[in-house]
Amino acid sequence: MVGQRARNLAKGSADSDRVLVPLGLSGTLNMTTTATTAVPYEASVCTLSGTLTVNRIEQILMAWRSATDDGESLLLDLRTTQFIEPVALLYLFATIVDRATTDKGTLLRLPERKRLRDFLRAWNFQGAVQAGTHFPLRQLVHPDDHHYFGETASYYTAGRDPDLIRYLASRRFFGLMTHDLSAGGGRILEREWSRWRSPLILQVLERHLRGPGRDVARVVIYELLANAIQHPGARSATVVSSVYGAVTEKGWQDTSFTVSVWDDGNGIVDTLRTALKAGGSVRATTGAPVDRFDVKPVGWNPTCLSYSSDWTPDRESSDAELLLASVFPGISQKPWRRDIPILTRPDGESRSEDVGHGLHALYRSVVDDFGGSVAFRTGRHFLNLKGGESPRSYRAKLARYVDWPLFRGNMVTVRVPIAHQD
Amino acid sequence: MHSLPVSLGRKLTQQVPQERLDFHKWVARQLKRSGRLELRDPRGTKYLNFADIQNDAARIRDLLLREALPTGRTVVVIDLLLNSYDLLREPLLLYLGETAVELVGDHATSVVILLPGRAPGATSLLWDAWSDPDEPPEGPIVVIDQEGSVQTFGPGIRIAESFSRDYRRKASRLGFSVAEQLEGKLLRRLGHFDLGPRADGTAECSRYFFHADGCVTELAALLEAQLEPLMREDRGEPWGLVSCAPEESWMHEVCMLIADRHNLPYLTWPDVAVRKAPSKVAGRRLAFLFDVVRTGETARSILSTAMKWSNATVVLAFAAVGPRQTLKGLPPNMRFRIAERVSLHRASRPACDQCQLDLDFTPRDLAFDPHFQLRAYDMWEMLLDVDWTKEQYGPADAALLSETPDFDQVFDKYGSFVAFKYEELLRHLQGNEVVVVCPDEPAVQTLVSRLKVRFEERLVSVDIPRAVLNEVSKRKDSLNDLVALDVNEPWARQLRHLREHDERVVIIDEFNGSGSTAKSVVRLLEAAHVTVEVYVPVLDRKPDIDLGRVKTHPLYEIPSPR
Repeated sequence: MVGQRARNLAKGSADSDRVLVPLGLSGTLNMTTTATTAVPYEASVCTLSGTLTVNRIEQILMAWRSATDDGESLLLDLRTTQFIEPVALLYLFATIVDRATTDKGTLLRLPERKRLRDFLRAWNFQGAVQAGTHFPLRQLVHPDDHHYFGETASYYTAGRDPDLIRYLASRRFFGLMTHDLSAGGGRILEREWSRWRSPLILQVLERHLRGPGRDVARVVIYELLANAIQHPGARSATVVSSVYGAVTEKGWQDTSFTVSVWDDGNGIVDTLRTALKAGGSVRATTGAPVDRFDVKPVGWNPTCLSYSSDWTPDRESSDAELLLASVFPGISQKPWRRDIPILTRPDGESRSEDVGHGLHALYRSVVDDFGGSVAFRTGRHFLNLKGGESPRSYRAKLARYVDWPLFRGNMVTVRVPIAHQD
Repeated sequence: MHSLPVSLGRKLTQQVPQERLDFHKWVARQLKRSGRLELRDPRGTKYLNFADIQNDAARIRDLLLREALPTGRTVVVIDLLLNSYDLLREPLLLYLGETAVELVGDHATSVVILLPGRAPGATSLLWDAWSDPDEPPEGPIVVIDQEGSVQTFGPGIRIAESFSRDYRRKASRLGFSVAEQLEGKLLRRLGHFDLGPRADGTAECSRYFFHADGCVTELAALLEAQLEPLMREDRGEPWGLVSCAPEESWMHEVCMLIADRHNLPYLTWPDVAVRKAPSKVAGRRLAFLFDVVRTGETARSILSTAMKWSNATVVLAFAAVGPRQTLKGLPPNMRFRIAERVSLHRASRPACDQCQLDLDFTPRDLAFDPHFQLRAYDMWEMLLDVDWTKEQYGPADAALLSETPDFDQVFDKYGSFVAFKYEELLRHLQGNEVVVVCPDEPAVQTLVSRLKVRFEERLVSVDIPRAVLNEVSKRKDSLNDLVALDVNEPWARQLRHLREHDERVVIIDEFNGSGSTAKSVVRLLEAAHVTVEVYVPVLDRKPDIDLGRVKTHPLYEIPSPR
């Protein structure tokens, strides 16, 4: 009876529905409560229909949040979802993990579309949720959707004579890969970097990307992970990727290689802000050739529309400016961190100041070599870097979203065009 | 001239073999045609471990500049060929570039940088240091990649036209060959493997199981070396591949890789024999790929069926692993190439010895054996498969054994398996960057060679000469003079580095007969203030030796001391 009522309630729009959590399902990720609840309670429904991009999920969650009280349980209804862009899946995952660690109840209805359920399988949704929340996915999923577990996948399987991409997808290569940073950031960095050196993925990248596929491991993956693991308080880093599946303003397009990393540490902006407040400078080195950034501001007012990479932010700088500056060569929070080991040389000299080039190397490679873009989502801010009109000039869409859900941690997304279709 | 080889992702400096120094001299000669070129001994590689590259990449500048700056016209060769391309982190290249600019700042030095793989693109930070047109470098900087393509910056320098081709040829001879890589990485694992039921229902066991997941690249290279000349001969005739390996196996991956690289259709051998080539490969010349060919029965059957196809031609059959004996009854006019020839053994139950002994099946997947040891059945097969001879070398203070297994042969025949057992333990203890200490003796060196291949050369060994160990065993007093600062032997220098960086080591050895070698190594390391994780002989014949704080973990024990 309870289940039936829950189904009835689950139709309709995002901001007013309540659903009774069926008996036997905790709906909460807090392990200290009992595994099953004796008394049914309500969760508020958030319907995620159609094509899910990160933007769309954020808009829907924002609407949900404005219509509900803080601390309410959330039912994410994916039944009418048609496509989930892999980075959107990462965003969803980050939302679930965030709610888990802040003790907010979360439930899921899974897609009715079989292909999409197969996508979740191939993109390791189950494994990642287990690793990220220490809670089995089964406990988060409405009993009516439990046929998902044990279903046979028909899409994203290798088949008899697969091409390399299908083969890798079937082995969950592109799926959510959650790394526990308590094992040591360096080990995680090496582990993820190694994955991208295997001959099969190298062949895919060399063949399909406009730039040098061999640089994906050396530069893109390396710097994405090196950046993620050093954010203060980061306990996990999760990677997702895809070849072909991507969404642009024009809608669903099969044209890119995408890789995105989310860490649950302090935001990039907060980290630099802390260093500045401590009285320090965030500029570690100078002298690099200068890059120019033409800024398209959204939701804030810059003092000028063009920044050059030898500019150094100070205490008066806005958060948006800090986010932009974080990618400049020589900008780093490392000199002010006490917990990052500064290797002292045998001659006694410590060289903590020669840092701050990782993100610079990343955008140089992604934008200039591969013709792609790098996007950063953290806190209330968003930055997207693309190529500009001339060498060493870049376009930066830099947004501040006052009303949007505060995004916990940092998500950095690289999108790179495919050279030719197959 | 200065030779500055750099090893990345390693925890210790390593010896630079003469052939590499000769190569550097040859490169330098191309730039400085006249005048003397005296090579200053680099005394080991400059090194940065993985954590250094991540946290302190600028360190490379110090390491390279710490060499006394040369006076007079000279050439500095910075050699990064010992490393995989993926370890060249961009910030590291930035500091490398800055170092080059600083070195040529004296107007008398030329710098040559040797890079692995293909040179990074124009946006790499490597080029930043000299990219300002208003501030060109004050001396020539030459960057050469592994394909031999040369880029020069700063004052002009003339390179001969034939240089690229010669460079490529000479560089390819350094380090491990593809065959040596394959030998180390292709694992013939000993155990008791359930091969499952055959077509006729009888069950089968195998003594060996092959793992080649780590050498897909090498196998693909070997296959390409066979295919490409044939494809060139044909001049445009379409080709196709047929994979007769199990799906999702490493050979299947090789097939997919080659197919993708050369845009060839491929298919998996159909479950039911077909009279004509399937349409996907119809009208094409075909290469058949096998993972492991044992008796050749299956291969023969498949190939004879395929040779009868009227709408396709079988030209080449390639197997990763095959028997040492020649395969009989193969269809004529068809090439059969085997990458690695080994002795194979298969038995059908109930004839299998191990089944009769009630030994458990070995799980196929390569999960670490938590005990990190060899089974008695496997150890004895290895020992009984080799000659037992009088011991040729050993500690001076103990009798040489009159009969002992020839470990040189053990490592020759079973090297990949023994290396694999060590690898399990070493990765567990030290991760991917490993330092081992061992006696500088032939058999152990064979083993260490295989290990280096398995670790992609991120394992460094400290090889202690037998003479030194004998000296240690004679002495009762302090050994400080043996490890003093002025001792310039490579192993002594390595021990000083280990102490400086507080790195721990694992001692490996073929077998422990009297404990004498082990005690000598331990005493020497203690005098050098180097910490030992554990002593790991393949075979321990004196399990009750006392090495003080150092634990012993042999792969196998047979109490039977000298």
